[in-house]
Amino acid sequence: MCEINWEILVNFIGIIVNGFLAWWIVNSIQKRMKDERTIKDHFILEIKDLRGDCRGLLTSIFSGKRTPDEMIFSLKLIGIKSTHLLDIFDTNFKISKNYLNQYLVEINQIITDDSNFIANANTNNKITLSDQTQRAILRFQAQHQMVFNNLILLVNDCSYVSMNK
Amino acid sequence: MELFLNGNWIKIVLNKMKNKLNILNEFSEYPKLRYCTLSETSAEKFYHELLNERFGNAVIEKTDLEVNIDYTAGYTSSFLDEAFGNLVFDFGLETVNKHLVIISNDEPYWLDMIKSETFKEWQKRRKENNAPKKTKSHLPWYRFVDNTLGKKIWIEHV
Repeated sequence: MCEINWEILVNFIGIIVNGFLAWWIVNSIQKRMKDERTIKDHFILEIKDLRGDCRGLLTSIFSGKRTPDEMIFSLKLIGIKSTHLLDIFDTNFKISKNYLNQYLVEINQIITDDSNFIANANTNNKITLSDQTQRAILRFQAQHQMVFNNLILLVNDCSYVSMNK
Repeated sequence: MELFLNGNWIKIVLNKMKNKLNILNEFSEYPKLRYCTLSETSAEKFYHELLNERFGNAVIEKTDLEVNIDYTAGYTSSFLDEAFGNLVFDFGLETVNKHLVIISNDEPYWLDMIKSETFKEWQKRRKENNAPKKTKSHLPWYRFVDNTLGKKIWIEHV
């Protein structure tokens, strides 16, 4: 008659349970890391899009292709996009929703305080901003060139907090 | 005030209702520059035709005025500075903080600018009596001076 060796059986079950646990832990962590990476990559692309929108606006302003109304509208669209993105960052990455406030207010001030902008606000003709304003925009870009890269670094370094938790 | 509706008495507490001002619906989709001489839909015009009167009434009624700045085609910083700055100049920061609610869900950075820059600068102007420029004559408007709310033409246009 075959006698059950309880010690071997317990060890065998232990190995199977431990193996399953190890597989589950590695699998779930890997999945979580992969999900987090995918989400971060998506938001990093969104930040790059936003930076592209800002650069596009400034380039078209420099080339005299925009009317004052178009400039204000583009600034508003950039503002709305920033607001929605930073709301998500605030909730999911604990990054301050005010991160781009100064940038958005200052760029609006520089453009809309321009003498050519003011002179053409009613007629809404296509305008080129004054030399003084163009220099101010260049200074502004130099001072804030790291703002989007720093935001990317922050998103990359922060832990993602799911809203579903 | 009480209403008899569907067989029930419904009590409406009027003094707790907020006064509302929506820039898109009541002023313009395209608010533009600081002064009347610069643009047709200026902050000076908005302030004297709508904001001062509504806010003054809210102070008298001891209610809040809720100003919604969303849904327009966008703002210049000078428009918001002039409109809400004049309010602080005429009523003082304490009264404005007590009775004004600004709604900006689309561009909340304007709230940040108004509260951290505009309010402080215009409160300083109020203390120093550095009067704002008026580029057009306006009807009498409210101002809070020595704890009294008065209504007259306080500044002649230049």
